[in-house]
Amino acid sequence: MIEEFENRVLQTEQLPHVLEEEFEKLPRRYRNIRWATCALVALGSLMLFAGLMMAWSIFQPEAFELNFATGPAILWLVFFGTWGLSEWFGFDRRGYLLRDRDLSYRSGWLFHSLTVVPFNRIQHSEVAQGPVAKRFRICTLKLYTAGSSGANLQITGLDEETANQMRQIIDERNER
Amino acid sequence: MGLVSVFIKNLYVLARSFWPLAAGLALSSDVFQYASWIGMGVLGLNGVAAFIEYRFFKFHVTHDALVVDSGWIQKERLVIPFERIQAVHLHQSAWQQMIGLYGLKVDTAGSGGSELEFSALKEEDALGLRALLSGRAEVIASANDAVGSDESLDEIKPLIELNARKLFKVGLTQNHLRNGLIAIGAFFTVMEPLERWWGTWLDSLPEWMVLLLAFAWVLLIVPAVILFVLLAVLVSVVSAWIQYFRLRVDIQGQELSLQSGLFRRNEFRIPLSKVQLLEWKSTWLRRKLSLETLQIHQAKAQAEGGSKALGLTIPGLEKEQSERIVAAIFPKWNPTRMEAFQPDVYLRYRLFAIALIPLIPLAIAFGLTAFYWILALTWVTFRWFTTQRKFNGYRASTDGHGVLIESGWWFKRRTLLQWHQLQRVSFHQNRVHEPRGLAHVTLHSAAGSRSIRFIQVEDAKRLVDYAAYRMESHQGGWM
Repeated sequence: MIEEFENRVLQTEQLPHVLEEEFEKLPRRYRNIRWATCALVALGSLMLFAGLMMAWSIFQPEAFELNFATGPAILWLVFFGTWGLSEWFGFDRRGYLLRDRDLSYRSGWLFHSLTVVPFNRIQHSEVAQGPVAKRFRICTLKLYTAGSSGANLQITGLDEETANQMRQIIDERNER
Repeated sequence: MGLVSVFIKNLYVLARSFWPLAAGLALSSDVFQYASWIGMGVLGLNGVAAFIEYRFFKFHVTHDALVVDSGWIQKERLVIPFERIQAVHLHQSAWQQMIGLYGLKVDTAGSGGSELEFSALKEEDALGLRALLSGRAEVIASANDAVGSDESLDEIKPLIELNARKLFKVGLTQNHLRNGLIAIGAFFTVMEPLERWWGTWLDSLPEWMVLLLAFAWVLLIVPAVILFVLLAVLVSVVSAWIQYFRLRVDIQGQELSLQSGLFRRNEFRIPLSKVQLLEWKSTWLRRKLSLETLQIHQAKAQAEGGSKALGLTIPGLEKEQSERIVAAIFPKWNPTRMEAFQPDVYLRYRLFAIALIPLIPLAIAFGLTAFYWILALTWVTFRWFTTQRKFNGYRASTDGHGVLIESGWWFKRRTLLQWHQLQRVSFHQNRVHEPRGLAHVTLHSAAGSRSIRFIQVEDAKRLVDYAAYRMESHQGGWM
């Protein structure tokens, strides 16, 4: 009997499979902040648009037509509908995984991605926190590797304590 | 001589930056009468600036770093640790050749190219400093090799040498469209400030000639296209000649060196261990002449982010020469034992669908006329053929040490990276790929990122796991 033909050079069966692992989820309050941001932007843009339409109807009543609002209204609905759906379904896909030698982060609903950064490639790390994030006790962990601009891995929405612990672990592992 | 060198360099930078403005002002009669005063003022200020720059520029070498002090009012100290130095390049422009001085550039992993430039060094100082910074202090005493007149190199058979015939081939197979457009852009840039001159000339033309030009311009299209093609080819050949004149590549010990240039002689030296990525590019014509261009990339600066990787380009490379370079830089690469990853046929239909997009504006422009349908049919047939060829060109393969990513049909590209030198790895998938079981993997190296696209999701997962394993299990340096 002829065996199934195999052409494998990479022997990966014995390796840990990062995509099959259980990822740690981000805190729920970060989800609330994201929803609040989405709602504020939607409301703000809606009010701005309504204001412009009202100004038009007041200053140029003879040229004003409500039909002109149809196109922007559809665009608004599509944009914020997609944003809302990606927040609804996408949040639970966000997660990080701290293994013995690397840190991974996955995100995205329409477009999902996962990035693995080994500790021995991290040039430096940073914990950033803006005023709103500070109010809600969340922060962003940024990891920098060689060869490109900005943070190469950015995990937003971490607990302050978790972020600092993770940073400490990264520093310790890097020193080994 | 150093002061003269700094003076000429600053003058050149000034002229290059402000010549359109200067040309425009020179044509103004109000300004022109003060030209001599303005010229003297600029020369005087440049002289003072050059004196200050030269007088306050000092450098010294500590046990582990190069320290440079500069500036008069605002003093600046730059400390470059030796371990961060990627490469040290020597160059000698025409005016430096005249006064017997050398320029030296230091590339580091923390800068977007050249972090430091010495513009006026004596020959022995330049060679000694290069040897020291390249970690070859022990050979300073015997460093008697000079740019363009390298006795020790002359005795060695070079790995690559571009003779006149090969140089012509390189020029002939360059991207003529790009070079032609650059030439036209340069032509208009030159013409714009001189508008008053050619405007006066146009006004002086007889009326019948203006009328003839107005009505017979259609007849000039064909000669103009021919002229454009000839000009583009000429620009390509001349630029290749200027850039790659007497190009010579050698591998000496653990370094790869490249010398080239007609007016400006450059000598680049790259430590083999610091190379991150090799990339071959070729056009259909260049492949017919069995030639390829190789770009050797080192680590890119973090601040610059993307565009500017440190490295050098070797044009006119033959297969056997390529193999020798690969063997020297990535000695473990073994192309006889490979596992291949090919994209799914979905990519083929996607390429074809994207290629049909231009038919939409054409339909709007011409309407659904017979002419449009003939055009559309021709386009669809042509693109069906070309997208098939393009799809066949996509492939990634690995021997376990390196990974070779190939793409393109007319313009082909091959990229070779080593697994253990990667910085991180990413897996990407979208809602369309997911039901088809497809995904992309992006390999991020210190010299840039390259993707393996539209492969089976199981293969993508294996590649991610393998990349992580190779990066994390590697003992020793990667840069």
